[in-house]
Formats: sequence, C-alpha cells, structure tokens
Amino acid sequence: MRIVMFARVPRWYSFKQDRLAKRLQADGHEIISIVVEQTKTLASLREWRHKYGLRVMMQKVASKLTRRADMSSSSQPQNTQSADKRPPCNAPVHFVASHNSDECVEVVKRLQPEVIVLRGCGIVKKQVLAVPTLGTINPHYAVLPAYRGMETTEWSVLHGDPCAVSVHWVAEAVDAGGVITSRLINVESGDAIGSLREKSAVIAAELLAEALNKIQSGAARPRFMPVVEGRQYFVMHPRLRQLAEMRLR
Amino acid sequence: MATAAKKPLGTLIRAGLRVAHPSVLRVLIQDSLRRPSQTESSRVHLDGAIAWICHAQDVCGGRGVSAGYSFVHGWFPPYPETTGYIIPTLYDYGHLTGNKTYFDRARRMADWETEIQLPSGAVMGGVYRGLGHEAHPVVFNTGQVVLGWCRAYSETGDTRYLSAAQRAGDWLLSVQSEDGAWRVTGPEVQTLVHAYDARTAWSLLEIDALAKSETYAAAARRNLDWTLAQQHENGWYENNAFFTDSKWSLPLTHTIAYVMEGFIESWRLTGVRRYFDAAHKTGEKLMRIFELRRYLAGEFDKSWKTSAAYSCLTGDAQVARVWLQLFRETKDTRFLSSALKLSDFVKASQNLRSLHPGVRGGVKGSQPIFGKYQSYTYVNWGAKFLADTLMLEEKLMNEFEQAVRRGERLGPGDIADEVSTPSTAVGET
Repeated sequence: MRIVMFARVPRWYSFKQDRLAKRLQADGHEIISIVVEQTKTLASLREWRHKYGLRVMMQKVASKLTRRADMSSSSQPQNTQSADKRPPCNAPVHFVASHNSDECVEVVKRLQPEVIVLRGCGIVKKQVLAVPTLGTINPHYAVLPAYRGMETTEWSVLHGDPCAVSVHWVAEAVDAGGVITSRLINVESGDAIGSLREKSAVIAAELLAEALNKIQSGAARPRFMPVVEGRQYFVMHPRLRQLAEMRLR
Repeated sequence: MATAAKKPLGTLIRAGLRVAHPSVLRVLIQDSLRRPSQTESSRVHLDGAIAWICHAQDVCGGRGVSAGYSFVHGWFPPYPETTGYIIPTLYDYGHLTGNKTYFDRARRMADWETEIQLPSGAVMGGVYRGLGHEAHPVVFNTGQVVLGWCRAYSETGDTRYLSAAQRAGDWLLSVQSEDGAWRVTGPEVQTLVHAYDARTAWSLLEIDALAKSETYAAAARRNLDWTLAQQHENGWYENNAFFTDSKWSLPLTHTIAYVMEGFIESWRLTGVRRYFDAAHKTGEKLMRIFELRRYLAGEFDKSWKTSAAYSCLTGDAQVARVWLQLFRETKDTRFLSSALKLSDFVKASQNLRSLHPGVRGGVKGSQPIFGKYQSYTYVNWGAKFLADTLMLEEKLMNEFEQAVRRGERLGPGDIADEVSTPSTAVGET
C-alpha cells in the first residue's frame, strides 16, 4: 500500500532506523514520504523528557546513537535494538510548516497516498484527512473510546485502569474513529510512566503493521462513531502525575 | 464599587507616592513583563491570603473588611457584601488551623453586618463610608451577607444572626418579581436583572435550612428555575454582566462562577439534580476552553469567544473551586487536574514576600494588574475565593492520594466492556 507518514520532530531527526518505518517497509508497504512538521530541538527534548522521564529518554538517545554507529562502521550489532536486520528506511522526507497548512495539503495530494499514518503529531484537519483514498490511521496509547485525548497512559495508570495501545481511524473529533486493533500492555513491577510509553511505542509499531495488513486485505474499512463517546483527556497536572507514578511503585 | 475621587489632584499625588513604593513598582514591572511569581505549597498561599484578609479587616477598625488595596486610592473602606461571604471562609480556616482567633474575627464581621443592616432588612450596596452617607439596598449584596449570618448562627447559636438573616430574607421575598428574578436597581452596576443572583437564591435556601420556612425555599426555587432559563445550550448565561456599555457588557468568569456556585450549593441543599447539571454543563465547557487555550480569559461572549487580554483572578479561583466540587460529585479527574492548574495560575500571581501589606498575600482583580477588572487593585473577594479553593483542594487531594494508595479504581468506570473486545495482554517485546 502507498503510505504517507506524518511526524513532528526536529530537522536533524533521522528516520533511517525508525522502528515503525522499517517494519512497514519490511511488510511490503511503500512509504512514499514522511511529512515532517519541524519542531525546535529544545522543545522536543523537553517534550520527550516529560513523556518518557530522563532515564528512558537517555536510553533512547544512547540506543539511537549506537544504531548510527553500527550503521557507519557496519560492525556486529551490540544490543537487541541494533539487532534489527531490516534494511534502513529510505523514504524521502518533506518538511512543512504545519500539517494543516495548504502547502501540506498540496504535498499530500501530489503523493496520492492510500493511507496516512500519524506517527506522533497534533490534530489533523479535515482537508488533510480527505486526501488519502482509504483513510488515516493513528496509534493511541489507551483503551478507546474510554480514554481519548492526551497523556492517556498517565490517566489510565492514575485511575488503576488497564494500559493499552489502540490503532484507530482518524475522524474530525479527537480520537473518535473506529478502532481497528488494540492490545493491552503488561504493566510489570519497576515500570514507570516513561517505560510504559516506550513499551507502547514498540507495540504501536506492531499494531500499525497489523492494521495496515487488515486494511489491505479488506478486513478493516473506515468507520466512525456516530456519537463521540468516552472522555477527552488533557495534559495531566504534575501532582496527579506524581500520584500515577506512585501507583506504579 | 463606587470609587470616584473627589480630589483628583490629591488622589494623583497620593497615587504617585504609592507607586514609588518598591513593592508596588515590582508588581507593575513583573506584570508588564508577564512574569509569574514562584509558587509554594497550597498551604503557604492559603496562609498568605488569610493574613491579607486579616490585615484588611484591621485597617478598617477590626470589624468589616476593607474592599481592597488600590495603587490609586489606597485601602478602601469596608465592604458589607464581601465581608458577609468572608465570614464562612474565616470559620473554615479557624477549624482547619484550630486557631480560635479566626472565629473571633468572623464574629466581629457578623456583628458589624447586623449593626449596619438597613431598616428594611436589606444590605447596602457599595462600601460603607459611615453613618450619614447614602445607602441603597441591593439584592445580591443582601444574599451574600445572609450567607455569613447563617454561618455565624450555625457556629455560635446566637439567634441575633438568624434573626438578621430572616429580616434580610423577608426583604428579598418582598422585592422578588413574579417570574423569580430580582429587578432592583443598585449603585454598583448598570444592569437590572442578574443570573448571578443564583447565589442569592442559595442564601434563601440556607435560611430555610435553619429556620424551616418553606416560603424562602419556594422563592429560591422560582429564582433558580428562572436562572436555568438563562442558560444557553452551550452553557453560557444570559443577563450575567455588571454593565450595559458595549465594551463592558460581557459576563466575567467571576459572574459565570457565581451562577455555578449558586446552582451547586442549591443542589446540595435541595437535591434537585437539574441545578447540578446546569453547573456541570458550564463547568465542562470552561474546562475545555481552559485546557485547549491553556489560559482562562476574564470574560466571554455568548459563543464563548473573547478578546480579553487579562484573566479575572477572582473568577479563576472560583472556577477552580467549582471544578473541585464537580470532581467531588462526578469523580471525573479531569476537573481535579484543571482545578490544580488554574489554582496554580492564581497562586503564581500572589506575591508572598512583598514588604507591602496591601500586596503581600493579596489577590489582584486582574492578571496582569492593569487588566480591565478592578485595575491596580487587590480585592478582598479574590483572597477569599482563593482561600476557599485552596482549603477544598487540599482536602480533596488528601482523600484522592489515600484512594490511590489503597489501590482503588478511580476511572470513569466504563472500561470493563472495552478491554474484553480486543486481543489479549502482551508484555514487552
């Protein structure tokens, strides 16, 4: 299938070893472009620090640097992440000012994708969603429709509810499209919000691949909730986030 | 509040001298640069707000509480309306700290209110400038003082307070329109009829709860039902502004919160769910606005649009408290999170280390201080509502933390059906 991925990262970010992109390519999908809404480095670092915590963020950076070093030296991989033998992602990257800009709509129209895969970006507007022939899908880190919106891993943990990843069709309302596939996350002793988010990212790559295969085989067709169900969550106050972390300990 | 200066030149000179104070200058510079103060624990901010209120009472002879401290006019005379609703705040704080001096302060306020009660039973509008000055009866102000008298009676058993509240209630009944609204002109506002009189209806229900007189409750219900009819489908309330001039004619978050408070407290006393639902509808709309815009402007038009570049801090503190009440009833933790954020915003506007007693611990009308609502003034009702919010916040946060520690499920409760549909749990790969 012809796929366009949307991402929001700093300009220096490389997708060559991107877990999701490599997985989709390995499954035979054609990533015709990665459309990037460029963010400032400091803002991104702050966001990652908030999402993952310092420890997981440093692990991710170290892992990325190791993979780069492995690529350049072609030496034997040293860890499980770099043991990924799949070829690097070679999709072209387009930079846009905003995913909702006219420029972005033009770029995507030119690319004629069947599906847009959202890989961490803001709310995408109707004019963009209308372009792909089959639809737009998004991984969401919680059970839907109960937990729509932001920081849903944190909210699920705070409430003592199961953590999950869901892949769903994207509708105009936030996280309101039908769920294509979902999976619970095993919360283990020693987990923190950051490590749960990292687990979610790994599972999200698998579920997106699974969802695209379902779409390709005709087993999943776009469907949208007639009424927006569940609650839309927003950024959690730090005191509540501390309580969520406390629940995990 | 009437603040017209009689001697413009003298006022100007005194204002100039006040602004030259380093603490005042610091506030002006800080607000011009939009730099918030550092926040401390809620308890420290609560203590600061209460200390400011006590000082505002002391500068007026230790009875009524000064309306506020203005960079232009200095300390205002005592304000009957807000002194009335500060009474329950001081009782609550006294119970929290176990310090009986706050009970004494509250009682002095209640006594002062009975002494200046108008012969009709009503409470005057505006600040109290002493005997011999004109005093106009005002519906809303009367209701707010009734809340103070009722609390003073509950705390002390002194029937003078209940009797004062009943006389005030009788006056409110005598001037109520057939449809339940109150249409009595007052000196402080231009508008005639107010949705925010839902708080006045609440005060009648408080009298009813103590005096067991159905007439008060019936009048309160008539007003609350009239107020329900003022609510638009999107949660906004008609007839809820202080002024009619086009640029001042929009409801403030302060008056919007007044309506929600009236509804919630009336629901608490009557059990009539539609009152709670009305407050919930508005509260949820405001929560979405605040979370999506990450800021709560001071005023909103009927489409919830705003061009206000200031936040009404009193309204913020009130809205945060309403969200806490909505959380307590619905267990919707989004309200708790939003309330914590909004009270953080108010706390960050409060200066706890200033050398100036008019500034230290006080709450400004607007953030920044030169915003439209009560410009350049620290208002006693801002400190009151912040104190109320922080007391409830700490209580609910303690309860919530205990529930988390006990491992209780605290979510929306509809998750069980969702998780059975998709595939099974899978661990780290």
